[in-house]
Amino acid sequence: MTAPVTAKSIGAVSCHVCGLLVSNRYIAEHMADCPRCDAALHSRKVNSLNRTWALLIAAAILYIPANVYPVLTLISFGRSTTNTIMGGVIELAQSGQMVIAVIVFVASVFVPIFKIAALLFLVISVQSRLKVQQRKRALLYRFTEFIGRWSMIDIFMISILIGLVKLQALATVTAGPGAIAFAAVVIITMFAAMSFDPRLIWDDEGNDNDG
Amino acid sequence: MTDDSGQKLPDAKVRRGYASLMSIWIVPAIALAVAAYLIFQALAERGSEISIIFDNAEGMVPGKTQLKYKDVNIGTLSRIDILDDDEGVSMVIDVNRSADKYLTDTARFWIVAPAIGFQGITGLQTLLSGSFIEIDPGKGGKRETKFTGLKTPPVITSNDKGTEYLLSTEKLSNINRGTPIIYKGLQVGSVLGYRLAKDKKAIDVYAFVQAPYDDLVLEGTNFWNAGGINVSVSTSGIELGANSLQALVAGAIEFATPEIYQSTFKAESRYQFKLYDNQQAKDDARFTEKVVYVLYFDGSVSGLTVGANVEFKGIKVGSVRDISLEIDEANQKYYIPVLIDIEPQRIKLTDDGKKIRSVLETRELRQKIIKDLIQRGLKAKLKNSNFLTGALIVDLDLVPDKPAVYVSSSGRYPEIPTVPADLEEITSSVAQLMAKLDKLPIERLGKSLTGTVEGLDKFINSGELQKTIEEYRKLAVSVRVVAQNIDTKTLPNIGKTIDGVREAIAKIDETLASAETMFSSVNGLIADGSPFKYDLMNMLQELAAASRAVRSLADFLERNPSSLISGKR
Repeated sequence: MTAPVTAKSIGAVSCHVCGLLVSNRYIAEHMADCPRCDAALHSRKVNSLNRTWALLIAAAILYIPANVYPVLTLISFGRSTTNTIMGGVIELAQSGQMVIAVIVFVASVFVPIFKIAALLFLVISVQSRLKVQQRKRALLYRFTEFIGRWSMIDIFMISILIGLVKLQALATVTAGPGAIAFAAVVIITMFAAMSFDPRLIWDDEGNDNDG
Repeated sequence: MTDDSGQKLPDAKVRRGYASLMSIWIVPAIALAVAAYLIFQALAERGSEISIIFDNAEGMVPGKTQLKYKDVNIGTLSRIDILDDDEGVSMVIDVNRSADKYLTDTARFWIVAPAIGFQGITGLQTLLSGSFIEIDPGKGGKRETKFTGLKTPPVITSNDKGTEYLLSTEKLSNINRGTPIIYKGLQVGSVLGYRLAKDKKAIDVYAFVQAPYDDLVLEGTNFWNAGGINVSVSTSGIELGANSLQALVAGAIEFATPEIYQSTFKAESRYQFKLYDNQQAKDDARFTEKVVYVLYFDGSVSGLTVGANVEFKGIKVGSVRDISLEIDEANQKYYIPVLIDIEPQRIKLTDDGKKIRSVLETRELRQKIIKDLIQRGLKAKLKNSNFLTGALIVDLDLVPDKPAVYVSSSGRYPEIPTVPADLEEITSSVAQLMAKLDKLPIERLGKSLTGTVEGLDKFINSGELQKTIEEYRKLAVSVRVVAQNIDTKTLPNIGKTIDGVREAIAKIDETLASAETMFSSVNGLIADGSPFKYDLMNMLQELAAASRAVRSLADFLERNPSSLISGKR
């Protein structure tokens, strides 16, 4: 099976925005913009693996405080109750609300871990020039990018609660430091997914000769 | 340039790049920094773990119950252990590092829970938030991690400025923890607690007076129990008084400094005061000087109690100190020595204002005055102070006309001679009267009296008097006949009006009255049981019957006026 023709293989760069094929004569030495739409031209996403790596590590680091620290502090009748993500899931499960417990668990615990793990696998597989199951890896990437945003469900919930539950002495909800860390994890993993260039999966050489 | 297909690809626009000004690796670096900061903060806030022993863990929830200082959270209860020796529970608390400085051996811990007491309702906020543990950090000391909690919240915390005093009292009565201390009606402190004194004879009450007011507590200040109801019974009635509702229920301690002690020094911390049972006791305690006298009463002292007043012309000058019984085996005699305290300070000297004397001089002068009074005939007697209870007081009075009888042989105390009590006096004077009567020539008197009576008898029995009375009797009978005639025969003819009858009746009544007076004067002359009296009695009875008949007639006429015309049916 012969390698398919790609923009890269014919010494051209495809514009990310308008799809215009541009000769990559200058691109090796210079930063360049698309002559048609002025978007920056890259053969592959700039520094894709490096960026993905960096963001993944940052996300992994922040994932620790996100789980250790309380995401929510409920002050009700003068008594404050703090909850971490897992604590909240356990409490929900114990109080019999299994459906909500599962949703929260999937959105807040499973998805971030899955994203980090999946991206890690993709990055490592690209770097080790693994040439198997490329379609499935591409599917994995698309799935990762798709589910990433759902992790924000928790953060939205907390934001809404904080905004709504302001009954002073009766009940007040405040966000804990864990919520900020968690939001950072979700955003950083989304960026990590974006900065990964799935075309690298198909690059024969595996040589991310970008920029 | 052309590609494989020979088509010309457009050239890229070359621009000045920003290069990668910032490496993407800054992101994980920042993430690391943030995570590190959060972890550091957590470690920094994680102070020490302390354990507090309480009797029970009522209302305590691990992970929720907080340790508070001035209502600021400084720690959280992490777990509760039951002590092996079953002497309570140990609360393990994670205390924030910032609060580490409070964990000294002077720190005190207690559980704040809603409580309703005489002083009001406390800890109401915990009804909603649940109980919490409160700390009073105390004032310095060594670092400590094991504490024993207080059973009840302390009355004052180490932030309350003021001075603590010791009040010594015989009995605690209604004084309790938190009993208010009042100065002129203003609460200036409270009772911290109490303890049996070291000698086990009194009770030491720990009283705390708040800062600006502790200047008012001088060495000469008096404290007294102002709680309960003051009942004073006097001739003007019963007076009921209480300081305040709270004082009534929970008791109160009041203090004041007498005018003469205003210049004494400010009392130091833990200065010991005597706590008087009531204001009266406090007032009486002004008279520090006491002179003991002994009294010997002849009669019973039943009703006299220790503490009873000793009065001089109705003014209290002292009190009864002791009553006992002495039996003199050899002489077969008994004595009842009553010791009294005379308080000379109660006696004012008229020239006190003019002459300046030393305290000692005044004291001697006062004692001399009492001695002089005794010489001038000062006597003691028992007096009834309350006729209902029969309580007695010792009444001192000048009775110079009675001889002073001294009984005492020991001479331990100076003696004030006694005179019998008023009741005793009456009985003894009756006896004296009897003795005097005894000596009178009664027999001789009796004889001459008999003679007089005999003479009278002769006069009465002489016959002339008898005749006179007989005539009167006849007259009475004829009057009765007249009355009966009126009733039966002349009735329809007697006047047409009742008035006429009334006039007649009035006249008859007059006649009867004059007859009665006449007869009674006669009756005075007759001796009891004589035939004249019998006759007179008969006559009077008949007269009375006559008048009754007239009265019944009048009544009948009044009811039946028609009978005047139609006759009696």
